Amino acid sequence: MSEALLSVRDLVVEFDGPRGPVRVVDGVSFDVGAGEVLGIVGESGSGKSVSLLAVMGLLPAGARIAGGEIRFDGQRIDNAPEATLRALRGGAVSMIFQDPMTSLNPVLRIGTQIGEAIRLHAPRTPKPEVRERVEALLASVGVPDPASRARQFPHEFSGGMRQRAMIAMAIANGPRLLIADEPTTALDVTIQAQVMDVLEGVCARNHASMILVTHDLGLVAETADRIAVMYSGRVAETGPTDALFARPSHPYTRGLLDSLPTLDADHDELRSIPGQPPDMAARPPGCAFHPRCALGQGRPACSRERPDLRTVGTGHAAACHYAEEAAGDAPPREAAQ
Amino acid sequence: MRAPALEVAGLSKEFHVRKPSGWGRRALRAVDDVSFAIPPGRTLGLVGESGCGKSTLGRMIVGLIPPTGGKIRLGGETVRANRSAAERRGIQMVFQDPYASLDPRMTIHDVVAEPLRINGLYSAGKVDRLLTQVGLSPEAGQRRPAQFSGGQRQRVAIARALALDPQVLILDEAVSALDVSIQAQIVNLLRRLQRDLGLSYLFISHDLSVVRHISHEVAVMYLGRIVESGPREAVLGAPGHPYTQALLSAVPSVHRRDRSRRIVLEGDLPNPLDRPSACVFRGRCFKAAPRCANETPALAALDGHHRAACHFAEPTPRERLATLAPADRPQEKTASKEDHT
Ligand SMILES: Nc1ncnc2c1ncn2[C@@H]1O[C@H](COP(=O)(O)OP(=O)(O)OP(=O)(O)O)[C@@H](O)[C@H]1O
Ligand SMILES: Nc1ncnc2c1ncn2[C@@H]1O[C@H](COP(=O)(O)OP(=O)(O)OP(=O)(O)O)[C@@H](O)[C@H]1O
Ligand code: SF4
Ligand code: SF4
Ligand SMILES: [Mg+2]
Ligand SMILES: [Mg+2]
Repeated sequence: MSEALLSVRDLVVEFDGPRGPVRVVDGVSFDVGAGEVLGIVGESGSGKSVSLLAVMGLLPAGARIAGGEIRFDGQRIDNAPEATLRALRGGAVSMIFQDPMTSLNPVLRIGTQIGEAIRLHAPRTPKPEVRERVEALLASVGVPDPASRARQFPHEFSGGMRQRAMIAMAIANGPRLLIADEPTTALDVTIQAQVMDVLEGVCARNHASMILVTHDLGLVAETADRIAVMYSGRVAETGPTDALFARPSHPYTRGLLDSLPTLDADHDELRSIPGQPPDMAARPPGCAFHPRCALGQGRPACSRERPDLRTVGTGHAAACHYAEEAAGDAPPREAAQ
Repeated sequence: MRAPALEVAGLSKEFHVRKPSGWGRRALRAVDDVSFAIPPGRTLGLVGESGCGKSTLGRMIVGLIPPTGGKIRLGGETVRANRSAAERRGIQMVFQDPYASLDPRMTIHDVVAEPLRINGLYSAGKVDRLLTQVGLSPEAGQRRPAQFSGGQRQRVAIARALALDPQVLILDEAVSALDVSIQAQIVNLLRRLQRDLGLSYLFISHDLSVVRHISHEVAVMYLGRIVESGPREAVLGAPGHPYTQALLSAVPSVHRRDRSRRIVLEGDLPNPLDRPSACVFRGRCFKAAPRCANETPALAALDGHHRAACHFAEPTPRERLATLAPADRPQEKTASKEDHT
């Protein structure tokens, strides 16, 4: 896909650890086409947020891009000077962070902060116009009474309202790529539906793209065109939404789908993948999933060779030596211990 | 009969917030006359729109903020504003925001150890056990919160809340930052602890499937009030209140990616600064009638324990909800996806 708006290739991110660098992101590749919604799901701690922070050039101290490349609109941005990145952020690329409190300044009013985002890219906007746009933005993400709310401080907002304030800030300048890290976890489903409509609306109007990170598989199923599933710093499976749900081809993806509670079924215990996610500093050799994988039990390839993503269908790839088996009749797994 | 582990009666909270002009303040009623009881070893699931007062309710119950009115009873005893050490120990909360609630300068081990040390109960082994219980390795104890992902921090917060063997645990969106497999492990853990130790939970979440799985009873809040409550099969299987009905119709599902079944709520979003008179749901209700503007609906019995605060409440099985109200306009995207489901 040459005309991808964002293209991430073999991205490696390392953190300084007590015993040398730790590869938290270990060779991640994905593309986002113009107007496309890419959903990223996966293990908690698998490097979803860190990968996206790397794209934004916002890695915390002690972390660095140690390999691969990131292109936005054809331009390398992984080694771009800070000034270039700053110009991109909040303009063409903007991010809704997983953690509202670190991106909202606790001592500034919500309205002031959104106003600053507007002025960052249009410094000469007259004050009344800024105020009007702030209120319109807050209203568009479903914050009632925006005039009053704009004057409040972050701690006076509920969790979900803070999330919506951040979304308002992120869409202030009509970005071409919107990176949304868990944008709706604190919202009830009726407001989630509305916020997703706003985000999709912004994307449709500007023919913009979105990366949606979430643990809500139902939400990605509804929203994303394509999905990437991450496990332990790597992409375990990627494919068009329909194909991925119809024919999950990596045992981890299957395990996730099996763990979903539903509104219908009654179980005493929810199914879950046995065992714990690996420590990034001591990843198992071969396939990082092998200590937990029923399909791989006892198979030498699984504990020796690290599987790379390989094609299992149109635009559908899985990093598993036995992907075809995983997609077909995987042997029944033990329930969680 | 044993006293409920936790009971609240007529609990209310008002905040005073700035007027848009910047001068003067007005009252924001975040929690309005809420009552419920949780027996030992049971779970009450609490759901509701964002901003309806769930966290505020939890923070009053653990004693972080004083109620404007109403009573809180633990094990049958009314707690006073000045709680005893035992009262404080007996009820713990896992906060919605795992970033803000963990001290960034402490190691994970110390974060979990802190409540134990304060109460003279510390041992390194106990901390390691707590960490293992929530699926973290004891070695992880040497790291600091900043080095953890959102979901990992959430588990640290749960380990810390369990440290003092509380009788009542308030879990505010405690599993929503976790992937579904770890979420399943934590939910299973919570249920096991409940079985073994008789813990009671107030489980606040937006995820109705998880709420259904973990709860015995469910309460639905809207603009500070409980608008529906009862056994989980009743509330989530055949909801009677139009808000609960809309909520259930909007749950995205991997199996049914068809947005046309969603009941779309029109009208202004709920605003605690300007609450509608009489029925608080009136502005967005697809069933509203003139009576709804004049007469406040009481939380009245529909069937046994199942109660709803609506003049026209009508329990409707979940499969039939889509027939109740105007549906979402079909979206291009949905159309192309449907034929695969
Ligand atoms: N500042 C840091 N120093 C060291 N390790 C870190 C730091 N920040 C994150 N990590 C580690 O990097 C890994 C990836 O973290 P990341 O936040 O990207 O996870 P995630 O996939 O977004 O998870 P979640 O779904 O829980 O948000 C985790 O194992 C985490 O422990
Ligand atoms: N310290 C405060 N000062 C002023 N208003 C507050 C304060 N804390 C909460 N509120 C207001 O009280 C209402 C209820 O907030 P609360 O955090 O309890 O909602 P919630 O149900 O937990 O929502 P969410 O699901 O989004 O977390 C909101 O309108 C909020 O703005
Ligand atoms: S490569 Fe082997 S261990 Fe890894 S997911 Fe596939 S079957 Fe399981
Ligand atoms: S009382 Fe009237 S407005 Fe309120 S929920 Fe019932 S029908 Fe709707
Ligand atoms: Mg994250
Ligand atoms: Mg809350």
